[in-house]
Amino acid sequence: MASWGRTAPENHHHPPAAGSDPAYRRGSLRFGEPVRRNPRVLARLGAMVEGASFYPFLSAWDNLAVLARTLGHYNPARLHHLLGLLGLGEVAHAPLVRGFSTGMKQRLGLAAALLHDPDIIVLDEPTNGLDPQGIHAFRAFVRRLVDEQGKTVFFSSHLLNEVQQLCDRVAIIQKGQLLAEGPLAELLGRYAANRYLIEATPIERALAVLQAHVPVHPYAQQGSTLVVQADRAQVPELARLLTEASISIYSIQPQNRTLEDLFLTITRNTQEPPLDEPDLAALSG
Amino acid sequence: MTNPTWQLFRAEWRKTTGNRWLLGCLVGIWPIAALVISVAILALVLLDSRAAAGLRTEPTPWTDVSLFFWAIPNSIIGRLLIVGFAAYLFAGEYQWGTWKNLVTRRGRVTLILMKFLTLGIFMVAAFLGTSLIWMIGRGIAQGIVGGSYPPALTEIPPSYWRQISLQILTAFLSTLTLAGVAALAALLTRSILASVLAGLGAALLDGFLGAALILLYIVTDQRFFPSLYRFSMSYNVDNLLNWANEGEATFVLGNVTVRENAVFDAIVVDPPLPGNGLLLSLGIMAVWAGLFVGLSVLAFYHQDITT
Repeated sequence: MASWGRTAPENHHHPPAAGSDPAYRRGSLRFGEPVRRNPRVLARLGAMVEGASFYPFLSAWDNLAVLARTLGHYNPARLHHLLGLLGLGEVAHAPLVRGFSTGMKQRLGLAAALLHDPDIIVLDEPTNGLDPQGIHAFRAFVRRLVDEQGKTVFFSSHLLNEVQQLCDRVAIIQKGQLLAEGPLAELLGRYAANRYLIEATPIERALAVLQAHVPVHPYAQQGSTLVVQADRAQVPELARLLTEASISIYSIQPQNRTLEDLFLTITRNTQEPPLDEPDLAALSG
Repeated sequence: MTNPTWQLFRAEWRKTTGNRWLLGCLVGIWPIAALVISVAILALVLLDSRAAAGLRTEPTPWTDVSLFFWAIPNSIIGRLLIVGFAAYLFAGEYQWGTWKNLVTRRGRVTLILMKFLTLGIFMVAAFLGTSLIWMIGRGIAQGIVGGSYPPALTEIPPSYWRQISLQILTAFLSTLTLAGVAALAALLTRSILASVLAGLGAALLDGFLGAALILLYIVTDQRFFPSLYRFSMSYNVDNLLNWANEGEATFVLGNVTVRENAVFDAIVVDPPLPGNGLLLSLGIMAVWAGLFVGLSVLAFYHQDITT
């Protein structure tokens, strides 16, 4: 389970680093009040949890109106604004929501989450079921929320590539346990494995030479490339060793880690044994 | 009006009226039935002179006509439709996954009580509308045949107001109890079908309770068993209607008639068990309604709706 949050602007209250604050663990935010069933705090939160759910027999407008009235703040101008903002103005009154595509429902879900102009918006797997265009539009909209309106968006997703493209801060939670939290760049740096991708021939000799000096990841060996784990300071020495062994070097480049790598690294020791690492050489051969 | 409670009621109302087919089948069916029967009677009096003569010579007072449909919640079909409507209102939110949208916006107790209020208003409005249509339909028929439609507004007997108010109160409490059972089942099972079945089961169980207690009385000869029936919903509904129409209590299980057969002779509780007073019956009905509504609130308050 991956979860990340966008850093809040300086002038906003924002959640503490989860796990570091006992009050947070008890279910509090830094609004100074307990969160659970607290209308004052809930009024500052907007959420779309487990996809967008609506009354299928009502129109988009009526669904939002029902939610707004439930909240006690029915404002037709706000409904009109939100539906227009999310590109649902044309379908506000027809068809009924049962005729909406998944993307339209997700957009309506976002409108519902923003209904009362909350400070914090919690989005749980909001891109599920969206096509690439829909995901792109969604991402752009969320960025605008954050950059232009100063909202704090908590985004919970298993789509780590999506998370990496959109988020500033990341928290990795597994079975309710916070395993890591911080700015994405910092986390990627902190957990960087100092891996280098070396393209050389003959690869078998290169492997033999390098194995004597640094850890080599045989599973990452593919064709004429292999991955080694080494400090940056070791790289010239490795190049020299390979050259002295008459091995042709085509490139040595740092292997950038992705959020997925980070996630797998962090969770590897805490979950059930992973599937065997694939032998890419064997797969390609 | 921007009062938050009023807004919440409007939201509940919009949700309920939004599903027109379901609303028509479960609630609208009563006024529709009254309309159809009224039209049929009109056609009959227009086409059949004997029927018209009968209506002219023996007019039914509109005060009696107005009481007719308030017995709906005590019929099996009435109970089925009430339970179905309650199940739809409460379990529907699980089916559509919409509870999670609501509980982040308002307190749970308020949300659930507003549902009960909406349900009660819908049902009472439906019965009221049905009675009005029935009264007007019969009035038109009386007018066509040239008969009278007594009593005049100035001659309404004082007992009528007691009758109609008790009928409405009984219908409301009976509806609320059934709705409470269905709601509790809906909240626990999260299924419309399961809550309909549970609600019907409870209604049938209440109906069979009398027979079971009679049987225990026969076997044990203990008056304690039939006297338990005075706490049942069925008895108290009957008793309240008796208070409304006759101005007196009905004996506990005293109106049970068992046909003579090879196993049992005609059975009565002898001497008869005196019936509940009006206030006691109202109190017992209120306790039943309050119990199930309260349990529903409790169940919903402690429920994790995200699972």
